[in-house]
Amino acid sequence: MSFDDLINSAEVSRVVPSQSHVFCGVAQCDITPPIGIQSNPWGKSQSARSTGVHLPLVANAMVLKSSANDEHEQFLVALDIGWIGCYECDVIKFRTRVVNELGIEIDDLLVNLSQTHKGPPFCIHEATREGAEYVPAFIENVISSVINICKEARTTLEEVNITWAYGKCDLASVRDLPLGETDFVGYNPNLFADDTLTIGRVTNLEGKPCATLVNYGCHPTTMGWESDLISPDFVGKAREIVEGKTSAPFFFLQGACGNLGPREQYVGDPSVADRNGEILGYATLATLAKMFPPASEYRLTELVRSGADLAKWTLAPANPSTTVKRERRTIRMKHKELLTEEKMRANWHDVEPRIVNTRVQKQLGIRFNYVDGDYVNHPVWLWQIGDAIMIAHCGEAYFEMQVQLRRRHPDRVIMFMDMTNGPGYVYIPTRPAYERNAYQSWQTLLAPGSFEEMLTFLDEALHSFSVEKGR
Amino acid sequence: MSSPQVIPYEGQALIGISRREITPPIGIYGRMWGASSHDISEGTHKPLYVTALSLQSSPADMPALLVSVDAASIGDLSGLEAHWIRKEVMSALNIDDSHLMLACSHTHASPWSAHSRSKMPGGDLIEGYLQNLLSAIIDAGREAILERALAIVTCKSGSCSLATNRDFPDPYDPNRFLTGFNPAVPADETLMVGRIVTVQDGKVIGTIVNYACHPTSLGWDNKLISPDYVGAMRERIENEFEGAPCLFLQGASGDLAPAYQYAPDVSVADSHGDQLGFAALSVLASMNPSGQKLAFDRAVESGAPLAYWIPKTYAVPTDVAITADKVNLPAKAWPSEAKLDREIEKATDSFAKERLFRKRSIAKLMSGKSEIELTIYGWRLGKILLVGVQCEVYSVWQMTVREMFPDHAVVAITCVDYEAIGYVVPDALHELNLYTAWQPPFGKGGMDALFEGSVRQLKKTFNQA
Repeated sequence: MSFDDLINSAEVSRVVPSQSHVFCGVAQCDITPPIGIQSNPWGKSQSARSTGVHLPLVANAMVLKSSANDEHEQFLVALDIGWIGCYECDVIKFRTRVVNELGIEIDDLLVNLSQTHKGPPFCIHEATREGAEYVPAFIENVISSVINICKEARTTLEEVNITWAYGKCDLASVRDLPLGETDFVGYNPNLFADDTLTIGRVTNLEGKPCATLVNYGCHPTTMGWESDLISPDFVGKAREIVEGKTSAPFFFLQGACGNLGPREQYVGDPSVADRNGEILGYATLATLAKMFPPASEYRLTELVRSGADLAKWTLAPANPSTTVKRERRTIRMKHKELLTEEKMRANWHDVEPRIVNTRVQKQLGIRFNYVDGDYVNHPVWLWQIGDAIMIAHCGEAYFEMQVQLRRRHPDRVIMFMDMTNGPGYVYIPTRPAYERNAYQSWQTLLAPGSFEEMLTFLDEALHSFSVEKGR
Repeated sequence: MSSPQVIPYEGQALIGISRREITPPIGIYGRMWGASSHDISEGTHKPLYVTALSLQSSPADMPALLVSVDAASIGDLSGLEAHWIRKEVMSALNIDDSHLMLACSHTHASPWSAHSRSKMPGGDLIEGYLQNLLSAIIDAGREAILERALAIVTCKSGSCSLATNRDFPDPYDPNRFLTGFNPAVPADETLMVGRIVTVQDGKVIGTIVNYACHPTSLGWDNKLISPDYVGAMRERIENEFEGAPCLFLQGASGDLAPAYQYAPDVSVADSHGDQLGFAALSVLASMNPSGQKLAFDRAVESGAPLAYWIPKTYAVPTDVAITADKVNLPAKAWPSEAKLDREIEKATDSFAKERLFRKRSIAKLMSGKSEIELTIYGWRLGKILLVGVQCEVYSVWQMTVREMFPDHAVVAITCVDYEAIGYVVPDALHELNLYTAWQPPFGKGGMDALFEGSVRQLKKTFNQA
């Protein structure tokens, strides 16, 4: 056997990145609301009225198809919005309207919210504080903007390559901090956080960047109650840095963030959010820089005798997967005892009444069309885009969920997306978080053990998606 | 219960930083690769520099000088050019042996600046180049010392996946390893980053990047002088800090190199530089403001019970310790210069000749010795440790040294005063047909001696200060 024959047949002499070859269109618009709007959702804030803008809020849309003739379209939307938390405002008034306008099914649309804590409410029922008068027009503007950019994305449809890669980013820290008898929500320096950063680089056939998909788990809570500014939090600066280099829209897709937040947070100074954004932005650029050119793989091609005997690897054309498909599944998980309003208020009798009102409203709103007898029906969307799988749901999972799934499925890149498509606006904490009575465990509807059930369910579900890498 | 806090890896001292360009003239002997079909450089990709950092506790103390040099080596073991340059620099700046580290970046696209190559094509430019290198180091060192200011160095580690394992089992010959990307073995991705900020005006006057990865993006077909990936990395970082110089310090990269390497195209080096530069910028952004720890301040009842942390000033340590000692590493049996001369005479292939030249250069040092003496530098500034060794080393060395000092940032520097002696590898590799095992003169036990010497040297810095 010749050297050439041998290296062509040897699995070890070939490195194939995770890739996709699909049709894609992208559009972006500004959704910054007017100054004065209610945009300080913190329980601790004295006034919710905004007095300025730190950086603009942005909406991004992407349409995906497996081929130019494919009639089936899937839309991915990323919004600099906090949360919805209400079936009526999310499913009925927003997503149903968008899919009707686009002529697609509701499961063909994923809307990921960044969860900035410095934007207006996107649920009309939360428009209760100073500056609430601007909220209805803001919501209407966002919905019509999403419809418009989805339609615009269709007009920019072209053949693209997507290269997927994991990188690392040190922004997120574990935010469950036991101090005495209480578990506080804040930086815990004794625990390691998941620093996985998942990137999708979308380029057209000329190699020009079309979009950067950035999936990372971290609460955008740098800016706290002392700031009156409208802000996308760290996402804003990260976007500036990445788009400054790529000239293509930056899609921030919030990952499993239930127990992750920045080390330095809850501050009034937007420069801290900018520093946090630099951590993410530069980590994204580092990950982009490590990628091989689009639709290429790496092959051992030559043995060169030099000072040493050298193995020369060279780039070769690859044959990326063209698969685009989606599934929606429902995970049945047990919920805790559902407290009445009176019981909740009694439990929080020593907390400020306004804060209690916020907590009670959240608890009641998340049950609609979700609780079903002793169980909840937790929807989850699984999208395969070539060698990558997007797992999307509306909860806020503890980061261990994405870590475990990635560990169990190393042959594909997993984009794990919290804060996407309700219902299911709940934390999904691990069992130990319940034992410590962490905030996330008393906020959630789910019974202990739900995290573990969901993990098993998703692990098994992933096996039904084909692995096509390196065909 | 004490309130939680996180103290950064910092130290405060009088620090200066300065740079001089050392780009050689076009046409200089530049053959770094046995596989090359050319001998001389035909142009310049990006400039080469020396960047000097001076460090002292007070004006009365002798300054220590750490100089990053864009070179594969400073001469070789035949000419002992690094020995000569060190002597001249110490004399000109009035510093002693322990206070000077010449840290080569190890770029393989720099001239082979050894007198032993002066008869090669373009070799006539070597002497002038070495004189320029000497002047540049003295000038940069003197200026760094003169312009010193009270400054805080903050170090933090991050990660960068540019480096990959480069010991690849030959698929054609199972008894041999090739030097090239091995995707099956994970690499040490540790990236140690430093930021130097003046106390008086809070200005960033320099940055430090300590990372282990062979600067071999560019290979035998490249005809340009280049700092390899270090060039673009520096530009990325310096652009964000008003041009404040970035000091690159090569880590323990004996087994580490980029996956995509040996390329003729400088854009490959630049994209590697982007990768390292952006990773370093991400680490720099994650540092607290200089001289501040992150401290738990108070609990806040909001929608959730919140733990509120803020940066707070604290007493930054100011102790500086500068040490260096010799350590003996076991030597292998080595052929004599005369024997190797005869073999060179007979060799016809360029790669075979190049290997023999390198072997002969080592032979001069080896005659009749059972041990090889190397210097290990151990410096400390507050909670930052710097360890420097005069060889190339496998990454397990820096990983283990860092494990030994978990409460400090360890800046691990190899290729210091480098005269191309070669690699220190773990004992388990010694018998293998592996370049990094058969090339160097170090025998079994070398890694243990180097590791133990390094730890001993760093421990001394706690006694001296």
